Amino acid sequence: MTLKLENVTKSYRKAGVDIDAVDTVSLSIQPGEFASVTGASGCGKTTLLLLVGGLLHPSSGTVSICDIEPYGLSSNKRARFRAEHIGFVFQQFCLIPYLDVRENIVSAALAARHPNAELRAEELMEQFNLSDRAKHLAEELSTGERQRTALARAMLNKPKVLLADEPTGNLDDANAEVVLKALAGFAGNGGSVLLVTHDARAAGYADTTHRMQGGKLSVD
Amino acid sequence: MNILHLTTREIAHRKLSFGIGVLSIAIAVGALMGSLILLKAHDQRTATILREKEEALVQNTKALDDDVRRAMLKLGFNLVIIPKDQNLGDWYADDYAAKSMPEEYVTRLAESGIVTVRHFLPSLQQRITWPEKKRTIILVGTRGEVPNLHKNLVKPLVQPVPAGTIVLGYELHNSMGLKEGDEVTLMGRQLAVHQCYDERGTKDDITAWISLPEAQELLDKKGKINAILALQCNCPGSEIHNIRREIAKTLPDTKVVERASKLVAREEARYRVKAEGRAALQREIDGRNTLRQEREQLTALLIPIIMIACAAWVGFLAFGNVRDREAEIGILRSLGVGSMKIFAIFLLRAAAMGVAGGALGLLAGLALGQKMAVDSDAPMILLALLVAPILSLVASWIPALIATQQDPAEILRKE
Repeated sequence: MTLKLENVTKSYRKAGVDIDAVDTVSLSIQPGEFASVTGASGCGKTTLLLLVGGLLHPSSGTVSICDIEPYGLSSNKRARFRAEHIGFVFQQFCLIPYLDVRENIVSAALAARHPNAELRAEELMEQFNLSDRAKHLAEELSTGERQRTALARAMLNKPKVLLADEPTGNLDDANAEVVLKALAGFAGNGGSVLLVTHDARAAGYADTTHRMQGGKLSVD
Repeated sequence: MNILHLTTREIAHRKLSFGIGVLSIAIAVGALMGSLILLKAHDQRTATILREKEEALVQNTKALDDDVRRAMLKLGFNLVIIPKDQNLGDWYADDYAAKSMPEEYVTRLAESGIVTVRHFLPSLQQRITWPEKKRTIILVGTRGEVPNLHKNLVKPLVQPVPAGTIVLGYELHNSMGLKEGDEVTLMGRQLAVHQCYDERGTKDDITAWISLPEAQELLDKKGKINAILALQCNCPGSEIHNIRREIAKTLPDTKVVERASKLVAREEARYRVKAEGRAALQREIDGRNTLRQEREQLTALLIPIIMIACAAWVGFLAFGNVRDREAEIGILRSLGVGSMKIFAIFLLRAAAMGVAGGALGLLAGLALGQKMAVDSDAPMILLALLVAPILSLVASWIPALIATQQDPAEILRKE
């Protein structure tokens, strides 16, 4: 089992009221599985993704990735674990503005000390048709190129799990298809993908689809 | 990819913010260097002024010494050593001592280590009748000055009369129609006129000077003298008793008579001028020291203010940088970059800012030093090079800590 959540709850206290953004969610994703979570804005999708990504401590329940519980690790070890096992893709691409395409992709090696980061970056740029944009800054790229760059960065360290938060939200159909196919391809190569989206068409690329409502998860 | 590469790219991207930080540090370091250079320039100027004043004082004192020496020649001598048993009434009446003392006394004095007198002039004087000319004269036998062997030798004030010659006072050569080179006979001895003095209006006008050995022979006082004139007594008149005591120790059967007290006053004046010169020099030193202290106090007040203002500004810029890079912090954390590395990224930027600002400030300081002809020493350069990065690191420490405390989940949720 690559990814397993057991009764995970994340509560926030706002204006004196406890709100369960994620409410006793259990989820398992096998290696090679492409899972999606759909739901309306504010239903807790992004919170779920951050919990899985080791960035947000759950209020209760356990998260394990590759049989390791990241929240049982120290902050530095968890960061290292994240660098080696998890890749993130965001709706807003989140590229570093002063780095070019190649440097943005290689920046994933800042924490993981990838020995062949430059070579791997070349492969990924080739794969995502970015080679002729290698020296371009993020602001000089189209939205599709930006997301492909973010995807390449997420894949640099060959993670076991790819977490994608509305990766096609800002893309046209053609670019969205490229990204979704890439995610499917990642799963096809044995990786695990968790896609959160409100776009039913994007969720259609997934092997399993889950629906989230009011912090609770249900299988479609 | 490493944090150095990341930092250099970020600096290149946010040139203005980085440049302003560098400039403010350069101003702080420049102000520090400038203050140190101004203080050093002040010290150098002080040294120059004091050296010049010291030299001027020495020159003035030397000129004054010469004045006094000349005055002593013209007006007489202030101390005369005569035999102890000489009746002073007779001495004042005759203006010479009838009693005599051994000539070797003068050698004893010169070798005694007496510190208050520079030269001794032994003489044998007597009022005689010049038999060949049938007139009364004062005959002085002199051998020239005997220098005090324990003092620095200086040019003698009185030249000896060469043997076989005679020096004549004005009245003598004028009344006898003698001139330099003429031959005269004195008590049966043939002498050549060596020098004829101008009119002085004193008993010198009826005085004839010959060499001491010849005078001793003519007056039948071989190896005897009747006066030793002490020249250049280097002490105020109020300390005459010290000279007396010193001489009495060496020559117990003599006494010291003070003459021409006007000269003693001159000597005192000379000491006063010297003392005033020293006091003026000391006042100059005190004035310069006070000025330096005031400048130091101003520097001690201004530099911390400039440093604190600079640190506050650099800190403000660092806060801005952290705020601008919030998203980047979130991305880097999601990529697995640990908090220590995030901390290092911001401190590395601060260190680069400090080094660049320090180098600029140092260059400005060196240029100022060159303009003011002040050499910047190694500690000053080292201080400037150390202060800048430390200042920048200290100012950026809290913003960098804040960067590490950013919640990546919160940032990414906002993004």
